[in-house]
Amino acid sequence: MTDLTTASQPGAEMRGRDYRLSPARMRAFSGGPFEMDGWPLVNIHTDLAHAESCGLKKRNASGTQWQGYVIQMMLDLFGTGWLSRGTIETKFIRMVLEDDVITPWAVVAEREDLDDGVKFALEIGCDNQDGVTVLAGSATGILRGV
Amino acid sequence: MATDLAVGESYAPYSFHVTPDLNEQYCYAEEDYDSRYRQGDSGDPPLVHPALILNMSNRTRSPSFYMPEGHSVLHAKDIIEFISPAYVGKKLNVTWTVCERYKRRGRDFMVIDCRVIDEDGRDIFRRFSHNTHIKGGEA
Repeated sequence: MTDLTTASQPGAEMRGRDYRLSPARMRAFSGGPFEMDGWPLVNIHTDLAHAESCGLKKRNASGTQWQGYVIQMMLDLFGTGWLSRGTIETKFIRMVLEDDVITPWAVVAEREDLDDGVKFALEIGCDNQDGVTVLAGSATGILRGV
Repeated sequence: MATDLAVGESYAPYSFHVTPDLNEQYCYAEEDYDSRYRQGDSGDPPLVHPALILNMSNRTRSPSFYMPEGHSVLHAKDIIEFISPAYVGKKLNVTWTVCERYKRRGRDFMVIDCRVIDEDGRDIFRRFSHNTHIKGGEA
């Protein structure tokens, strides 16, 4: 992934790695704690029959699971300090189903020079294996150091 | 049911304890094995994976949440302000209050003002989630 630096300018593009939403990782995310009696919880993310009863053809990944991929990317770009001052706005555009492969990305939209760093506004998103954007939005963060 | 609450009403709050095992479970789910989630920095405990807090702060976690059989929540939008990192070993408390309701394309949407605070009273994040629900065959 291309790094975000204090020299990055609007238009700079960053792309994260690919994540495959396997049924096992979906159960780990949405099935409740492993030690819970009766694990996993039955819901549209973990159970095919339940998903079908809700009109879905496959298990549907929780939006927060792949929203997490964008947040991982923000932590990789800005560091853990982002958890103290970062913001993110995400729209869930399309459903993500089991075994889909999701790739987060970000583009610098604006930069504002501060005394001790740069505040960036980013356009963010996630694409699926067909290149279709499934999540879109924006984020802000501060990169310290000049 | 889940969509019956009026603006200003709240779901029952939810609290959970973040154990190292639970955090590791979410690191596996997210394919994210960064050391920040296993080792503390500058004397602090390890960080809680943000996706764990996101998932535990979905309103479906509230003890008072109810959705009829054959329905499910459709998560449309989130606006999140991260305020402080959360640490493994702490209890986190989640509250949800309905702050807006609107109709779009024939669906009823609710905006939920969600706050996550740790056992020491530190704000972790504030999240505004736009949700609707689907019935079988609609998706």
